[in-house]
Order: sequence, then C-alpha cells, then structure tokens
Amino acid sequence: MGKAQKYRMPRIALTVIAVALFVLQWLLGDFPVWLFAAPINILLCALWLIALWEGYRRRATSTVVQYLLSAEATYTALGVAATIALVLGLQSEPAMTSWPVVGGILFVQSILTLVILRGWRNENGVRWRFLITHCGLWLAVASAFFGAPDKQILRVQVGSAPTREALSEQGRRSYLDYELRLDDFEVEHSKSGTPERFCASVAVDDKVVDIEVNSPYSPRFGEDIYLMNYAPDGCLLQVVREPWRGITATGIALLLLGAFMLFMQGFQKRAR
Amino acid sequence: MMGWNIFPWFALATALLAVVASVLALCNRRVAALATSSLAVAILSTFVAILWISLERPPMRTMGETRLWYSLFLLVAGVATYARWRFRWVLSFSTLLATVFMVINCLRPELHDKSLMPALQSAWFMPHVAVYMFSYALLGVATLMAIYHLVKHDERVLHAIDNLLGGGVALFTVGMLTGALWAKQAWGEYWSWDAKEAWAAATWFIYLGAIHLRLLRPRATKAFCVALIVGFLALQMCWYGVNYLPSAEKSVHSYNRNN
Repeated sequence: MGKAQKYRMPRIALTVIAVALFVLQWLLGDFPVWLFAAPINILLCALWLIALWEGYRRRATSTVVQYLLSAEATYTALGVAATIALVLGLQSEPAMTSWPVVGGILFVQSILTLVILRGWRNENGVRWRFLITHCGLWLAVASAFFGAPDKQILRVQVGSAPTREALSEQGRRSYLDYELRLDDFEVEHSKSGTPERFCASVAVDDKVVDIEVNSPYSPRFGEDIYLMNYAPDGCLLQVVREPWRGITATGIALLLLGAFMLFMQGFQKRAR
Repeated sequence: MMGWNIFPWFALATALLAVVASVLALCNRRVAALATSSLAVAILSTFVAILWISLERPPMRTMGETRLWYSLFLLVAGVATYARWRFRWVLSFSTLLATVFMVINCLRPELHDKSLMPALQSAWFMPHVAVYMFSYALLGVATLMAIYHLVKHDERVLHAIDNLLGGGVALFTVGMLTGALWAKQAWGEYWSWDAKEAWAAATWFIYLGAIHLRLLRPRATKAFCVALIVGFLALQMCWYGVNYLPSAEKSVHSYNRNN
C-alpha cells in the first residue's frame, strides 16, 4: 500500500478536526483559557502525555501514530506553525486564544513529543544535539501553552498611600499579599533634553526598592513588578505572575545551548 | 577624562587590523587572520572598558554607545564564524559593517548625546541586533548559492549551503531568544506576536522546514533550495517589510515612528 493510500484516513481526520476548530470558533468565540487554570491544566497535560506515550507504544500497528511520526507530518507541523505565526502577525489584535490557534499548537506539540520519543537516541547512543534543541522547544512552548491560564498580569496604581489593590487585564479587582507605596520618582534627562532614565522608588512592605524600565523588582521567583507609567499623582506598576517560569527558563536555556551546538557542529553528520 | 575623544585612534587601529585580517583570510592564511582579527576585537574591547570606567555606568544609553557595541559584536561574530566554518569572505563582511558603525561614531559625535529611549537601554539589545545582522548575512549568502545551484545544478555548493544555513539559523535562534529575554525584562512578556515577532517566528519555522527537508529527503535539493529562497523572502518581510503592514502600527518595534 502506497503512502498516499496508507495515510488517507489520518489526513481526512486532521482536515475534519481543523474544520471543526473553525466551526467552534464561529459558534463559541475564543477558547475559554481561564477554565484551565492549575491544577486542571497540569492534569490535562499529564493525560495528553500519557495518551501520546500509549500511542507511541502502539506505533507498529497504529496508522495514525505512523502518520504523526512521518516526514509529511513534520513538514505539516512546521507549515502549521509558520501559518499560525503569519496569521497572528497580520492581525492588529493577535487572536492568541482562538480555537484554530490552540488546536494548531497542540497538533505541533504532539508531533514534537512523538518525534522526541522516537529520536532521542539511536544505535550510537543518545543524540544530544537533537535532544537539547527539541526538548528546549518543547519546554518553551509547553510553558507558554499549558501555563497560559496560570499567568496573571495585574496593574497597580501606586501613590503616597500604601495599597494592595490590583486590577487584572479584564478589570477584575484583586489584592496583593504585600503593600506598595510610592516613595519617590526621578526622571533624568540627557544634554539634549530627552528623558533617558525613569526611576520609581517604591516601598514594598516597607522595603524601598528602585524600579526602572528594563529593571523590574522581583519580590519572589516567578513574580516581577514593572514600571509602566508615571503621572504627577503616582505611578502605574504592573505585576506579572508567571508560575511556570522555571520551565520557560529551562526551555530557553536549552534552546540557546542547542543553537550553540548547531553553530559549532552544523546540522549534517558529515559536517562534523 | 578619557572617553570618546580617544575613540578615533582605537577605531583606526581596530579597522586597520580588521582589514589586514580580512586580506589574510582571503589569502587563506587562517592562523594569521584569526590572530589579527582577535587583536582587533581586543583593542575595541579595551576602548569599551575605558568608556565604561570613565562614564561610571554601562555604556548602553546613547546611539553612539549602541553603535560601538554593534561594531564589537559584529567583529566577534565574524571571528567566531571564520574560526569554525572557514568562509574566507566572512571577515571582509564583518569588517565592512563594523567599520561603517565606527566611522559614523567618529564623524557624528552628536550621536553620543542622543539618548536611546529607556526601553532600548538593555544588555540584551546590542547582541540581539548584531547577531541578527550576522545571521541575515549567512542566510543571504546561502540563498545566493541556492539560486546558483538551481541554475547551474552544481552539487559542490550544497555542502557550503548546509554550513551557512546551520550557522545562520543558530544565530537567528540566538537573536530571537535574546529578543525574548529583553522583552521579558522590559515589558514582562517574552513574546507578544506583534508583526515583527510573528514574521520572525514564521521565518524561523520556514528555515527549520528547510533543515528537516535536507535531513529527511537529502536528494530533494531543488525543493531545499526553493525553501531557502522562500525563507529569505520571509526574512525580508521580518527585517523591513513589516513596516508597510497595517498591523505594524501597534508594533513594539516601531521606535522611529511613534516615539
């Protein structure tokens, strides 16, 4: 049986799923990311990994898994990733949480997972460059994708009186577990008169810290306070909570290491 | 106090050594070229250190200081690429670009007082830009060779294309990641899918597709070369084409228009 015939059903299934995602978008609007906050996202991620592992174990008999491990599926995944990037880039308000984008990322990540399971070692031993680059990308995408419901961006208007009150991007009110108060604000100008440094001295539970553009304050790992704006009656701070930061940082570090190895070794065996 | 007033002497010494290194590389005198270009890097690094000490802050605040870092990173990228891949032309390219930035700094001292907006004053900014410049050069030469292969069917250039593509994609990846780390430090988001970032991601995926095509179907050289041309066209969109898109209006990369 030729590949065209063999992979007919997986191709039809993928096309049907893709159409269904667009229909869901049309019927329901954006994907309800907020429904999947921890621990639901962690549970679903674990179930998804178990399903992929079980599928991988049955690769000798499963046509679907054979298709997902084929070169054609790799090209399709990279094509889907490039298309998602282009579509998001053409939109003035990128539809990050639309059903087709969420489904597309899950498809790409599923293929990446299966490819890692199959290719991390061969008869010569562990394929380190392959493992590092692919796992780096897997971790970076997984932390952005599964970690998205847990990420919080809060705005805090800070003046001379202490406050804990913060507003989410959707306008929901919440309270920080520390107090913020503006102590001082400095603007330095260059000789030509343009502002070249903005610095807010902020008391975080009585500890005064300097917060500048490009220099946020980190009260704990995975949480940063940024300087967003300044007005005479106070300044606007942004609190970003990113519980999956450790995974993101590991992914970026592995990708950087993988890029270094790619630079040094090239991607062809004969180049080494 | 020593500072920009002594820069022309350091620039002259750096440029002269870099030109000599380029000629040595073209004549295939590899060890001498590497030693001379490394000395050029050391001299320019010495000036950066002097400026850093005299300013009593990292020199990353003005347009002139930015161009100084561009020159340094371009020379470093040139030496690293030549040391590893032995492309004879690569030192000439890095010397030309680095010299252009040093000459601008010598001829237009007013740039030393023109401050960058605070968001650009990041340690990630200069490597982000310089590494991208260098990856564009490697990928550009790979594209020219791909066109040559499509026209002349010359198999001998494929090995060079592979090396250029590997180096170019590696540096492009570093450019994207340093940009993401900078964005996180400045705005709290690694990636915001604005027009430039989206085209950078699309370009990256196209080049990854080209690498996988080469690995999985080594005989499909025509499709491989076409993928490289498509990748380079996407790269042009990423580099300057996005400025003409409506979605670029809100781009965080539009420093020269809205600020």
